[in-house]
Amino acid sequence: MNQTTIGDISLIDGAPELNISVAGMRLSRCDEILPSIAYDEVLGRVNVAIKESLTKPLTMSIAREAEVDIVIGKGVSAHILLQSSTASVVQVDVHEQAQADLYFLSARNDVALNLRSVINVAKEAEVRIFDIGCAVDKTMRTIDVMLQGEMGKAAYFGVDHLNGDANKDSRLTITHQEPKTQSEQNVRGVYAGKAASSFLGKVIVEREAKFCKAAQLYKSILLSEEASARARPELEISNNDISASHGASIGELDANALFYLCSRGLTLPEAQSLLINSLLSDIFLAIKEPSVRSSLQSMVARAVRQSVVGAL
Amino acid sequence: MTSEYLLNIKHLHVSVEGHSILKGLNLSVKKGEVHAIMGPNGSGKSTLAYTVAGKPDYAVENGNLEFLGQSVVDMSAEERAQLGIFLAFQYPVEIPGLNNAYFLRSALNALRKARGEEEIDAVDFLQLVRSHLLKLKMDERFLNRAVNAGFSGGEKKRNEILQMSLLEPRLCILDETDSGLDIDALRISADGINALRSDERSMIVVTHYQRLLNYITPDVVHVMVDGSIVESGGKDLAIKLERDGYDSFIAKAKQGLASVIAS
Repeated sequence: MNQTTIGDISLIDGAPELNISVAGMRLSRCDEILPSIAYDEVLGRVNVAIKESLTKPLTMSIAREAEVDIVIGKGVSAHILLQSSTASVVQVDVHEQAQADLYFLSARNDVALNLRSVINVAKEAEVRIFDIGCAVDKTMRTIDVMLQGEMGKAAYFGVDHLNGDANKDSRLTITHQEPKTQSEQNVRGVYAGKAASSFLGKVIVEREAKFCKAAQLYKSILLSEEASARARPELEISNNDISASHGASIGELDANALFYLCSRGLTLPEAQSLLINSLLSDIFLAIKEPSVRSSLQSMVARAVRQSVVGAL
Repeated sequence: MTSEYLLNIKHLHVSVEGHSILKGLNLSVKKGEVHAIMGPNGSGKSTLAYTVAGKPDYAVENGNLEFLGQSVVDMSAEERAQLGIFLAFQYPVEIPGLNNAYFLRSALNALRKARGEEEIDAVDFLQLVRSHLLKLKMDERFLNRAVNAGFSGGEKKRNEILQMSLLEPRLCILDETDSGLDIDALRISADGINALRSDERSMIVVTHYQRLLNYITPDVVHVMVDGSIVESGGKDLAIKLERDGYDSFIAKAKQGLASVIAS
């Protein structure tokens, strides 16, 4: 096994997997292409540049408070998983014609988290953001997406599952700065225990950004009487040549569907789990990478199952 | 002897959201028997079906409801299913996003777990479900779709029959399985139901029309009016009903009620 150290960066080259740990941040991947990484000790900033398309997903675990800058080069396509167990600021620059699928995970955090992401999308580039969170503590989540180049596209898919005394404040802002840009927000929330969620989904369309499309859809399920959810879609539009839609619903699991499943012998928690997972399924189906899809889906399914069994 | 009855209902009173629907209903079904329950709209046929299956909010106010010699009144829907009660819904629920094969396997495993049997894995399950599809002359594409989502009326009813076949219940309650089916779909569904008849399995066929009974020959036909069974007989009773309608039974029920009030 070869180990290379560049400043605080150590590269451990063990076939077939390559592990990179950067100042408490671990990158693990099994890919022949290595992103270039630099670490600024003074600023506590990690720079990751991806100059060639990655054939397999890149995983980064952020275990120490850090700022991470990721640059996805022109025409490059990449799947990147970012797991945060501490406060972090992540900036992703998606260059022209690049295609980035970003997966932000915050698994069952039991400490308060402040997670901030800024995503800049250049001309004809496309970003798909999957924001998957299962929390039992306080979370502040801010995502700013800037569509900075013509025909840039951004899709935000959120799965939010809170339990216990978890409290989450999410603020998603997508700004259309250039013409013919498109955005989509598709969020599913499942709230148990005494969890409280507030989701602000904002779309800003600037004056020059004509012929844009923006869509927002928010659906939430409350699993207990003490859980609460607030959804606030906001549209700030400065020109008339755009098409925008939004919808929001907050409700309980369908009693008829629960009876239908129970009448087949499934216990109530099993029936609830099946219905919740079916509500989330179209978000997971949007994940193109099968290995990522199945691992994220089972992570959320486990958390949901714990919540419904615990609720009995 | 009580034990020869699979289902034994005595003086059953049921209310839904404060409205009294079943008013002293009696019904006993022996092993292997097929009973048809016919009656006009609003007579409480579906309420009976839901009550036996254990739908929440269907409150038993009075009377007995026994299955295999034990009262099921305080049992949940899943406990009744685990004992072998199966309701084929009049309006099967659409669940977008839930894969039909996954749902069927989960249901089968829930029943197996309740019986202390080992769970079936995905490979063995596929083999098993295929044999049921073959028996019911159903297409495999049923498995890969979401539960009932976007199914035609006929497909939904056949999916109910597939579940019935796979889960092997002791008592099948078919709630208006014929409603919304054209003549071909009706015949296909009836063939599926007939394939599941056995000496160990009883069926209650709830229907508004006699036509389903052309395909599924019942042992006993009951006429239900205003929350109770007013007449029982052989299969000829269904033919008489088709010819004469429910009017005479409704009049009789009213008369009965009037005499009760008068006394």
